[in-house]
Amino acid sequence: MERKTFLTGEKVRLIPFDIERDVERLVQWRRNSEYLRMMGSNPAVQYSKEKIKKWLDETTFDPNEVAFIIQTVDDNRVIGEIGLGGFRGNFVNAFVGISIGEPQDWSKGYGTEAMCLILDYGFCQMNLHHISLTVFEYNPRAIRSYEKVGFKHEGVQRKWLNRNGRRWDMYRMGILKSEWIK
Amino acid sequence: MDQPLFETKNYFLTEIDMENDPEQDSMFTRDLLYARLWKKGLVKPLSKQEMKKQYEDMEKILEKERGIHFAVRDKTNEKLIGFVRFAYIGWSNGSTWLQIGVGDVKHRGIAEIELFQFVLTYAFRELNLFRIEIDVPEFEPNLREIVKKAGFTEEVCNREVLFFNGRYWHDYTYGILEPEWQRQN
Repeated sequence: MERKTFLTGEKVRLIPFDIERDVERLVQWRRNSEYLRMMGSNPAVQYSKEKIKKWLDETTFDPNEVAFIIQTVDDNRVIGEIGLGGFRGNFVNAFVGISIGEPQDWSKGYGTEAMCLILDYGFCQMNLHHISLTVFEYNPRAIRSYEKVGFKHEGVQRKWLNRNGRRWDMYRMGILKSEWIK
Repeated sequence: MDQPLFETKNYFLTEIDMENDPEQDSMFTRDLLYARLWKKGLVKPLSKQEMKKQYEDMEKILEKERGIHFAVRDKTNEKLIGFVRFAYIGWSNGSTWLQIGVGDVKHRGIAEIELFQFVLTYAFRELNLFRIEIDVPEFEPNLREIVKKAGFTEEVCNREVLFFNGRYWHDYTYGILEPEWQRQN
């Protein structure tokens, strides 16, 4: 078998979380309400260092979760998070979630490449059959990135989210292993 | 206000009985169609001890995810027949993810019809939610019909996300919004 460098692309690599290295940055990103509103459906709330450490212990370091930090290859900057969770069946399906922390790093192709790396990992190492994601209708940048990687639209969870005085749809997208490995 | 919330024509919805329910529920898990509603990952029949642990783990998760679980009992003999669970409630969004499981095959296909009526009234009029969703696998066509008749709309086809009985299956997400339910009633 040809040896390859796993989880590393041209722009980014995926590496484990490190509490000492990462906690300040994770706190900082969560001061940006736009970041929080793109990332999740819970009300935008800031986290203290202690709360982040507790969250890392309970989720990211859970042996049944797969979570990585996104780091730039050129200058080793920690720029985002990506992970697989919500495993269904015996690793038949998982949900992927991704966020890039700083606005200056958005639309640079980092997220798209990180997504390709985790799909490769999910399909070629974990032998998943299908990977799902959800994305809000007000995040067209993310939707375009996911379409570029190969995700297909699988439906719309109508008016799922209540935010900023109105209801928003949440899109469900998915990709099969056979669509990734062509 | 005096309309009883926790019963339908033939069933009571109650709290879990930690002493007696695990044994009955574990018997139901010999049917893997029911077991898969309790055990993610490795789907298998559960012993009463494993079932009790499932109940304890579920209560912790429900507390964290702010969910609600009801045991469903036959009115004639108060025996456990299954459950209704609001597995996740996003209070700020008024959205919930529902699970319904009928372990006793005598009641399957019948209880669900009444339970959906309870769910809709309870979710929209007591919890004041806006949206309910439920996932129904492709290999449960009867349940899909019951869900549609209850007023849910098919919204998502999660392609080949389940492996059961030797092949991959789709899992369908159905949703209903409070204004839609209001119009039906």
